[in-house]
Amino acid sequence: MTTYFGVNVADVIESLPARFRKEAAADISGSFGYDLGDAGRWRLAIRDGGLTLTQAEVLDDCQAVLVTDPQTFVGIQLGKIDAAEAMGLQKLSVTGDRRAFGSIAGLFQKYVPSGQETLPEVELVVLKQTISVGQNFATGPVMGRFLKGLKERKILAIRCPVCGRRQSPPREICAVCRVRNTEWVEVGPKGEMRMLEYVYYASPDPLTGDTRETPYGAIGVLLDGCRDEEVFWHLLNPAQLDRVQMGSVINGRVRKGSRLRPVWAQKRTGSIDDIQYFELDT
Amino acid sequence: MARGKKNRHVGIVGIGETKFSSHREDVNQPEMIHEAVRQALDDAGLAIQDVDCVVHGNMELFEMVHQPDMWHVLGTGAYGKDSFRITTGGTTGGTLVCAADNLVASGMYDVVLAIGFEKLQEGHTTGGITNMADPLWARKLQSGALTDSAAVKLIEEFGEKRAKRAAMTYRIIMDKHACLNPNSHRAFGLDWDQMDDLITDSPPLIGNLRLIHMCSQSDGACAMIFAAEERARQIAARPVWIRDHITVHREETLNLCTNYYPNNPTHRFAAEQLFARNGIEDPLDYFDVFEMYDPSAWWGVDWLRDFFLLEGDAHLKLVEDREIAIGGRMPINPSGGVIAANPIGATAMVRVAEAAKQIRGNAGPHQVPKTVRHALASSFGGTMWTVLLMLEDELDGWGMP
Repeated sequence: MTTYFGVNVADVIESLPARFRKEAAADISGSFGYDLGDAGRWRLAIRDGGLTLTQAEVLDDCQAVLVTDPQTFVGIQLGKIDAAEAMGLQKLSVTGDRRAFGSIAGLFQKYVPSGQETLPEVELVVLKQTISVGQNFATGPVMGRFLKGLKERKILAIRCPVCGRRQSPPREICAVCRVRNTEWVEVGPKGEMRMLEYVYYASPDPLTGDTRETPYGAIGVLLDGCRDEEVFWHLLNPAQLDRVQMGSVINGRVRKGSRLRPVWAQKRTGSIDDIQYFELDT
Repeated sequence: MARGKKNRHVGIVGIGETKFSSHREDVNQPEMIHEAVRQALDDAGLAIQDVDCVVHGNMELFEMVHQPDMWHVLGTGAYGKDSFRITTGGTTGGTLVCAADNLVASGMYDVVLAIGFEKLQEGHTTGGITNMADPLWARKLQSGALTDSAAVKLIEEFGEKRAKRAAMTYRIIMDKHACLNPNSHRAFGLDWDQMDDLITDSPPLIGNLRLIHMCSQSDGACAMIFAAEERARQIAARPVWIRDHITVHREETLNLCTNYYPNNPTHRFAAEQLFARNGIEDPLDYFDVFEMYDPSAWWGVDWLRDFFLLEGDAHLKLVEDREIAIGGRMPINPSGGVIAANPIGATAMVRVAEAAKQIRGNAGPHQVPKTVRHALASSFGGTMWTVLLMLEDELDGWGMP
């Protein structure tokens, strides 16, 4: 018989009576089925704290039937596959009374492949801890000048004296040319959208510790006066997520993106939050 | 770039990998690490007394334990030995191998044990990665390791239908490999008839990057033992030789939220430099297997082009023709790759360990069904880094620089 994860399906099924926990079955009565397709069908009849396991052609008389393939079945038994995830992937379904099926989940000791038996289970203690740290970062004269510019509704970039590329936020040096950046230029504040990260996943905002509201858009804006990869990384007005167009330059083929403008915060402190987000410039 | 010069050859003589899973609540960190160390020592037939130096690595932000190598000495065996700690994000495991190789090749130590581990369930993975971004600007914008950029680029260049099918083909092949690997954390048993449903129904994370495309958060450890040529031949019947490796990062890459190609990504730059200095003209022809650090199916497809220096849609064709499957022309990740298991500080080392096992011919059920003589392994992480390593089964035919 085929094995999955090194385990024979029949071993898992045939060990059910040995793994049956009588003491937990006192209040349960009924018939339940496992339909593993070509690998076979089994009926579990539970009555008066006892279990009768039989192979069956049809499971129509069962209160509930778990339908899956043998690989998923073994995977779940071994903890290799998450049952909810398998259900989401349509690898597993329960027909009939789902809740009744749920009630038998705790009736069996965990399946352990032969040779992998360990000591009797002991209580494992997990310690829960939370770290919360207040932080103060010095910005330095270059980043500081840029942040001060934001207070005055200006987006500053710094230009490499050798290759001419602009960086915003600015960096002290051009790491490619290995020279100090010296020339400041004002760019934007309007520009073209080049990249949208349309975020559904609710990750924490490390500045506040709060979970971000989703969906939101992180964007790369090619500010006026910049070229090629010289994008500015910020956020999009979440209400306009579905109305914007990404621009691109792929192998020399140019596609224009939506025009965007910054929405400045009323109270500006010299931080990324001085721009609330970018919005369509219409 | 200057060629990496070696004072002496270095062989991989011992490999240990724990089972990877979402939860290892049955063991604490040093205990979990010890499982891998024990396995590597047994694999090499060595005792901890035979090890001269221990290199230890993971990402402190994930478990928020600083200097974890102090606590972990209970499981690493580093007590009383010279010891170093490496923490370079996702590339940590690859950098650990590079460091161990350099420490042995230099003549400083004859036998070095390197250990990569992570217990991601003990912290917050996306929170940890987000704090990798520079705190003066990018922290607010960084969304962990999740990005739609590869999908955007592939769709822009090759059309939505073809790009999406290529990414899902890649994903299903990786799952088929994962099902063969007894160490896998995630192995679903995906099949071709599910392709269309998965493309449309898997929950979206960012844009076209869906849950099914993305790697997991895993617990696990990997340990490897490296020895100088003479010792390696005494220890192992079949040492696997580290031929060369390269590390590349690009300072501002993380800020480049753009839709611009070609943009000289670090993978391609690393591959060009490494293959040129080793005289390899056609990497697709030269290598027998590639263990790639592929955090998502989209990246996996996209990066094939960079690592094998391909042009046009050659990388898509490799996937579409299923030439990247275990029996194909260029098997990619017979282990199932990063999508199957991602204990981050160990992940990149697992790529090297799995590539080495393929050369030894004892990878297990996911052994490639052909002779493997030349293997490639990559690492990815940090603020867009590449570590690329070449492994060989023989010292003949390529020589000492």
